[in-house]
Amino acid sequence: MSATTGTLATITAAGLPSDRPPVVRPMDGASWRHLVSLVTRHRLVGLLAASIHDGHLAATAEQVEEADDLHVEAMSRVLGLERALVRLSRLLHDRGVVHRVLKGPALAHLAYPDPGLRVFGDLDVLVAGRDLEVAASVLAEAGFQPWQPRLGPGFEARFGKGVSLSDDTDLEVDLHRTLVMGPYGFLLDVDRLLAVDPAVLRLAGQELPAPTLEQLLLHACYTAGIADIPARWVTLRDIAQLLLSTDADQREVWDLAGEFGARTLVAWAVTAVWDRLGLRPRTVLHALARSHQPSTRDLQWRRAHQRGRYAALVGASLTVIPEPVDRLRLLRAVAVPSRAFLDERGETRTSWALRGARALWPRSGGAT
Amino acid sequence: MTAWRRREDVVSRQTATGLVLWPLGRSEPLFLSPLPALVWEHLDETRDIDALVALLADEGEDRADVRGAMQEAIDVLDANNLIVDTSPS
Repeated sequence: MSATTGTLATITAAGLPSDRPPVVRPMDGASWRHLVSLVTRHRLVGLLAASIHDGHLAATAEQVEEADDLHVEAMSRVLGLERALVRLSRLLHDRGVVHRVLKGPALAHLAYPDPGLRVFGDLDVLVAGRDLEVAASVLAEAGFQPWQPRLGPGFEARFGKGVSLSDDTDLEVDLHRTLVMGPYGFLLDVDRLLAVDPAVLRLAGQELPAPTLEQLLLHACYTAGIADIPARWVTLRDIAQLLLSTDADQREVWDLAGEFGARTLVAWAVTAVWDRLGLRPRTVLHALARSHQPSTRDLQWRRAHQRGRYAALVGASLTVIPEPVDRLRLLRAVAVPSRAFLDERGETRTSWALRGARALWPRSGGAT
Repeated sequence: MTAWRRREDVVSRQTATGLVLWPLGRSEPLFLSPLPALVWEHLDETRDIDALVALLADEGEDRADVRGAMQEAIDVLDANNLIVDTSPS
């Protein structure tokens, strides 16, 4: 582990029972600048400030001041997002759209002892696929538009991960139909998640629906396991936070992951958290994760995610979509995307088809 | 005696240097230095200035020193429309 990676691990594990040693000497200017850029990218600004003030990270007076300023800036952005979230959740509720506030805001308020420790950069909201278009239209009325052309009519509601929208201040909202793209996303039963009574997120005098602690933990494992490779450090902290500081039912998470074919993702995520953060306590989920063996299929799917091969993910998804007619619809939608979608990427129908073929059959078509 | 309570339609975060708040109806966030921030935290229920001074005295502050600063802090909160006067009219 490099010195910078070690420092990131110390910051990420701040306040948790960990073997990570404190950083006892302030860094030189160049190392500090590098650390600040990494801390910002990995959404650790809140934990950076906490590490300094709790004595886990030595810093010069100028570095302390800079860390505090960064924290105030980050919190201002986070509050801007939460302010929008309160309005959007109310609009969705008023239109009868069952939804859950995912990730950053939910984790900050439900898993962390101080929400100021958890920085986030956008909003994520889960809805059922059948409600995706209504939810997108509600957000459009509030000034949010998709920031990329859609692949085709109805594609996201049926096959996509969701729709990303932004307003004229570049505030971004990801409307999710499922938690992750590719085959794991199709194996996941979103209706099952939405049928469970939500946790309550209290913001600005209002109650917003959020996933249960178990669902938050499962989602964080999907994110660390395949959505972000390598995982952001803050996602590793989210998992450690949920496992060590909340009463999330870890056996329930393992059972849920089994139903959704995602135990390997949970195992990868949890073992990575323990290895990288040097955590001491052994938990139920950690023990289950350590004894789990990934299947060949899991390894293949992870490779497809790592390489970012969209066509390979579509190919893998076809193996888990039960209805032949849905498989045909997916293939057709991906093979013949909308003109706006192609134009935005500088592709023609021919170049798009060749790219897909190369990704699906790299040996005959050349590496992508 | 005048009593106040903080507005509910505000999102906030504590930092080492003070409190960042963003009332839903405003277009910009606000930053409160530690004393107004502390007063705002204590106004999660209705309190008058005597109750606030007593709370801070409990936290180790001197009452005589605190009363003037406390009124200034309340003025800051009031000027930014962060608190509601709950006194009977």
